[in-house]
Amino acid sequence: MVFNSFRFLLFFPVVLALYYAVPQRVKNVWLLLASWFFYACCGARYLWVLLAATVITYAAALAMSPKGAGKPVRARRGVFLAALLAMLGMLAVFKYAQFAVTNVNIVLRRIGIGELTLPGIALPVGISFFTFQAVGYLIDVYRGKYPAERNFVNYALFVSFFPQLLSGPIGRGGALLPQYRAARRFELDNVTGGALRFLWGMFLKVVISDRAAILVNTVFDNYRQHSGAAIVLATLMYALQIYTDFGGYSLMAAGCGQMLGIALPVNFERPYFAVSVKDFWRRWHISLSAWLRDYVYIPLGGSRRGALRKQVNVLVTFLVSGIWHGANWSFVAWGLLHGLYQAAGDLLRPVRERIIRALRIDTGTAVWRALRIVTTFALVCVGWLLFRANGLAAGLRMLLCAARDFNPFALSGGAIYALGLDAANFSLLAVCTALLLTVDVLAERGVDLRAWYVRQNWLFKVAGAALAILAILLFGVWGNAYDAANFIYFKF
Amino acid sequence: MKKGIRAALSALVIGAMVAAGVMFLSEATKRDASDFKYRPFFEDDTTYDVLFFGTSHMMNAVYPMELWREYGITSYNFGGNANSLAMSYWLAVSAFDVHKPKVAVLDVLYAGAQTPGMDVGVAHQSMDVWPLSLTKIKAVREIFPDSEGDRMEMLFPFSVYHNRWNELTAQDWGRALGGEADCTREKGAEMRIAVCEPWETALVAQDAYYKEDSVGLDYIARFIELCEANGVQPVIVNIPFPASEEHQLWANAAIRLAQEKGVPALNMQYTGAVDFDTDCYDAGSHLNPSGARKVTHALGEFLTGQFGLADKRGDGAFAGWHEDCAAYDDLKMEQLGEHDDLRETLMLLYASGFTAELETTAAYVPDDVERKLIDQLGEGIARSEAETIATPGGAEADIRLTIRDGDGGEIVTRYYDVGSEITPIAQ
Repeated sequence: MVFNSFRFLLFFPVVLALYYAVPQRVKNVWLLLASWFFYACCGARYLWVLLAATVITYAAALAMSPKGAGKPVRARRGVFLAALLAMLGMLAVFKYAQFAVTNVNIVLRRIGIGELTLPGIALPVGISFFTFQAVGYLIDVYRGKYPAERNFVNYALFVSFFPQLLSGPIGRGGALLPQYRAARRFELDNVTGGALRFLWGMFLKVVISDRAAILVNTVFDNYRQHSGAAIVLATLMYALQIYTDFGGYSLMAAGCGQMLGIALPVNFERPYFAVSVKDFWRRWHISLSAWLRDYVYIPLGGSRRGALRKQVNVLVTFLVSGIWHGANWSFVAWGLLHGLYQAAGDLLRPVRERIIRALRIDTGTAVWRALRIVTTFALVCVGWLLFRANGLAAGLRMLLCAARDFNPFALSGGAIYALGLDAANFSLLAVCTALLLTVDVLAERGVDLRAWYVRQNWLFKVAGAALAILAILLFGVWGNAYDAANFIYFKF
Repeated sequence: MKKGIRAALSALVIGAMVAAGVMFLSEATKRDASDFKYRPFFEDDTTYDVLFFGTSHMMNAVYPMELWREYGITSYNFGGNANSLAMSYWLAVSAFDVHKPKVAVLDVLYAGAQTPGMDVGVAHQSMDVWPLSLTKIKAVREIFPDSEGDRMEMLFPFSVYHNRWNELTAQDWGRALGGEADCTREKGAEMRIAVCEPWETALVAQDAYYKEDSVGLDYIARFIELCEANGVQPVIVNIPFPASEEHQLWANAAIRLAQEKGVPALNMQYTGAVDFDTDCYDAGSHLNPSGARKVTHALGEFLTGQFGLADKRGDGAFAGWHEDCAAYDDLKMEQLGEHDDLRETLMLLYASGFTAELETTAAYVPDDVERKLIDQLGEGIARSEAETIATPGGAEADIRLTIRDGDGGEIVTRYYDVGSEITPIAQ
């Protein structure tokens, strides 16, 4: 049951209506039951994994807390390490065992020793997200940032809250648990604002992302039959697809959360306006970047142990980020590439600054900013190509083809319309992308369109909402032939 | 509380606007094949003597307007492309809610099928016209038991048709705004015009039959029960076609089932009513208008003989059928104008009841199929030979075919050249 499915569109209004109808003391119980039901609808077989993760981290945190209250440090550390091992072990088994065995078998075959076999293990949906969220909580409690949550319902809801369960954002106990403890009343602004976010997210997903996906899949799945120009176009389209897919999902999650009175962390801040790769990661999947910073990069020593160690830490952090996205060498390469971008950016900074001084470039101009945005976007797109390609070898071949055989005229004379999208669909995609760009530019300049909309008169608002829904229904890529369960980040 | 009521009111207004918008867009974006075929039936308030159910075999083989012209029987053809017997059953349920005919005739093409399902894309032609109802939900659940996506698609066709946003025409928008839409002039039947060499098939013994249970046979039994529960006389028929041994055994099992239940049955595979050499539209299955005329006539004789259906041609209450028949004749005339291949023209002549004069030179020696097509016209064609034939433009021809209507007026004269193949000469 995903946000853009009929089931969810029936499920959520029922949950929302009953949530505000039931007494305060059972609101969280109701949300928890709804969340478990939601997860069971996505894969009842693995509901136990979610429950196990919840119980393990809940119990371990209680066993460690309160800090220094008579519990020996070694005992606390023992509980912490055992729970951490259990959580990461669970993630490793479900997500990485098959990948490890496949690679070990390659080596074993080379040296002529038999093969390891592993029973088929399906990936429980959302495991990377709820595991990281629970592990973050465990570490915070171990570090004494806040006390363990004693109310099991509140804690289970923190791990299982359905809007963020499948693809984040990865929340923090310090920000979310107090919200689950607090009383929540019906606020019209919350429902209106949340519904607007949900609607905009739905537009991004079903009108833009899933339309761009048609061209992307056509080219990436048969890249040998396409020119370098087609590969470049498909890569640009993938950049659009993944942003509107994951950004759309995150908006829908935040919108649902807001309607229920829960403020989920912001996960996107117009990432393609980033002026450097470092800036990109401050804007893209912010909750994961922050998690990796706080629980991987800083514990490794961050920038405190010298320039070389800092770069190694950056590389390791991005390697973890790549592996977190999937058990696949493409993701490893993508993570490493972003690590290298950052290391190179840091190491080359003095050179860059010297050139700027020598050429007397005014770095305060819009042109300079635009140049940096375009350069960053280009670097990110190279990463996206590897990320989307069907395997690392395919990705490298596509990169080579794009570099060697780039002739934009290869897409002229109607050839562009042979990539899965006809002229009408291209035009619609262009119009919608322009709309997205306008909204993002305005937001980047501090214009709050949601607040503007909320200020309008009642008739304008209801008619606008109805028209927006109808536009999504008419122009969206949805229906029987379309697989609603294909949010890109669900597989991570 | 006040805010809650305001939010609920806003949600209701938005919901109503969206519902109205979806209804409008559904009407604009839908494919009109289903409306085209069935709307006249659902909008008609006359009494039907006979409804025909089945697949495209039924749709292409029985022409209700010919039954009207020849016997004064009012009928409608519900046969649809690749309809499973489950679909035919549920079409009958849906049809009986609107009109209860005296007789319901079911063709048994898929009697041996082990699933109620059918191609979802084709099913739209049969189901889109039904409004969302409990009957439709039950039907969809039975016909598409394995795919939730297919069920949703059938119940809410807008979920697929919205993808037509980029191919909408002024006519589509006009229809959505309440404009007139085109509909069948054949009371659900469909003429398919070609003369095709049939597959080689051997007739199996009439007492041989498929001995296993099947979903198809279950639905035939249910169809019979449904008819009886509604006071409708069921009839089971096997529309003839160049059938494989398997299909013949299935059909024989269905006829046997009907006979066991005391239901009138007609296995036309064995009656010799059609000649596959002249009467097939395509190699393996469907009948062309020549074959349809023969099957329609045979069924007309059977139905009037068995059930004493009254001739309504003189009944003022059915005056509209005469107008419908005139529109149908216009269609036949259009078909004749659109097909100038010699074999197709001869075949259509037989189906239409027009007369013709055929003048040929020695260069034209009809092959077996053409000879049969000419012979079956009997006195409807006057043959003559000439040393030379010239077109009005002065070109040489080998064949001149003049087609005349019932009053002897000339409809069209065509000229053909006999080379390695017979080709019409443009005038």
